[in-house]
Amino acid sequence: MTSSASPRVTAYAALAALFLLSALAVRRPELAVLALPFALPLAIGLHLSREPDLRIWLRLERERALEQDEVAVELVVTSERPVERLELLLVLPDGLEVASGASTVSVRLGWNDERTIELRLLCMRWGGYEIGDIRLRVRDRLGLVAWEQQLDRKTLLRVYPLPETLRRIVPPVATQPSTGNEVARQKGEGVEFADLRDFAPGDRVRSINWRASARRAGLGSELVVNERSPERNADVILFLDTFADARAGGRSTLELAVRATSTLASRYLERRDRVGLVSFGGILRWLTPGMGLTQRYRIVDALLESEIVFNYAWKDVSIIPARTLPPQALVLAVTPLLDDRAVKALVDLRARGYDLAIVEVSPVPFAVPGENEVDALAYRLWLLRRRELRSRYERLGVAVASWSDDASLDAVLEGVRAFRRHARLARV
Amino acid sequence: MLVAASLGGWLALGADEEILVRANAAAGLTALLVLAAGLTLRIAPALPVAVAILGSEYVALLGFEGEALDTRAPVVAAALLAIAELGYWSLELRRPVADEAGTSLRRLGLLAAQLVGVLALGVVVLVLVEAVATGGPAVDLLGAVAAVGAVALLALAARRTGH
Repeated sequence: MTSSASPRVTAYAALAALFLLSALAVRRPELAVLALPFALPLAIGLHLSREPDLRIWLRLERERALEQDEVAVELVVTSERPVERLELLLVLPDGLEVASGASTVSVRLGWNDERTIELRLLCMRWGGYEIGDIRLRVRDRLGLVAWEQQLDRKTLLRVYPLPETLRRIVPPVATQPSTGNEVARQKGEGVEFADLRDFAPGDRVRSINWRASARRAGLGSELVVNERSPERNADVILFLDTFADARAGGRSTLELAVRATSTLASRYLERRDRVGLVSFGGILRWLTPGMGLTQRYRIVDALLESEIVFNYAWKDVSIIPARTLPPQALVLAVTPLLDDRAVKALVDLRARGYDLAIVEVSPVPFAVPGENEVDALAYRLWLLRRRELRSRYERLGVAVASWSDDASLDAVLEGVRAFRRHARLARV
Repeated sequence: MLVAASLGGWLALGADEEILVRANAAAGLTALLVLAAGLTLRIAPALPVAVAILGSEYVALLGFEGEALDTRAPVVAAALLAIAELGYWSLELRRPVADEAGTSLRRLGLLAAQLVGVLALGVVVLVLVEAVATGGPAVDLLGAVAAVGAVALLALAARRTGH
């Protein structure tokens, strides 16, 4: 611990000296009495002050929480010697706020005493937070000496983004051989009716459509059997653009993008699809496609580490490991379409034949048009350029849905679904 | 502020000569202004300055008037300590620290004990001074010892600060 004298040590010493010198100068012993209240506490206080011996633990109620959740934190302090005044400051990272209690408290400890300080933290924003930067200040009885220490009791708290309401997702064009919830376009064993065809040797009797066969009986036709579509799963790659974001008032497009990506990952994994993640930006991160709850946590944990890393290096899709992008996968990009590298990479993916859909996290609400004419013109040009960019994607057969904070993700994805019902795959 | 105003007023009205009354009143007002500025702007060094100015009123009172041993000294000493301690307390209260229940009462009790101790010790010192033949070498010796003690305290404080 680092000890330091309080400002009153110097002040009291100076006052005591002043009054004693005055007593000498004026030759009045009464002035020496004036020096007493300042000199004696100094002598006694400094002599009796001892460095405290403290032990401190930090306990978190849980290690995972959702946005807007409250998490209880306990600070346990023990001391063998009495401590007149212990000031504790728990430094909280941005994104966490004190819901109840106080992050700066003072306590008094007796002989072999233990105190537990409780507070509740409100998780304002998703992210991985290290809690445990504790600042201590101990004062002696007369407040003359202070000991200070900075403790590192780092404990990780993962705050997951709140899921958006999403009833329907964007169905992939191609499915994989494994069983899932997506009705495949191929015909085979399944539940959903697909078509009728003439009976062929080897067909099971239970698949004969007797009603249709009876109608055709007069026409001299053979038996007719039902064809069905099998339920298959799909490979879905969530492509998160982390090259650039737009920020305003504590919100950012990255924040919205992570929330949307997390929601999409959860919904696709619920359908037993294989979901992978590519975080394409200043730092490339990826997760190969996988299924189940474990994959869900892996994706969300990876998303929590998403950040905008400024980088001038040109990057294209060739740097993404091939096994991360399986053929016939649906690539669902969540991007503000602000960085040319991400824009070009998406065009490249489409050119390579990937089934691509884009959820554009609109940066427009974060941009304020300038006050003068030139700024206003620049703003309009920027909006036109963005519209042209979306048109370019649509000409390539890529659905682009613009999403901002005030609209539901479900409504936005309905636009993507509608576009994909009628869009033809363009030649790139 | 109330204690400082009371002490300043008391010391000004305690003077017999008109000029000393005015001088002490002016000094008291200055001390109040310095104290107010220190508390408002959170300037801790302003507190001892205000205390020193108020103390100087008493020094002037003793220097220019009265030859007999002044029995008001312990009260003035206690008042000066109260002004300094309450001033520092006031500054500490501005910090956003949540104190546990009973902290203020305990501190008030400690301050009261300090004031009682100062009063008692002051009376003892005055009685001792009265008992010993006052004036001359005795007072000089007391003063010299006290001054050396103060310098030693200053040195000790400086060493602590340097840790």
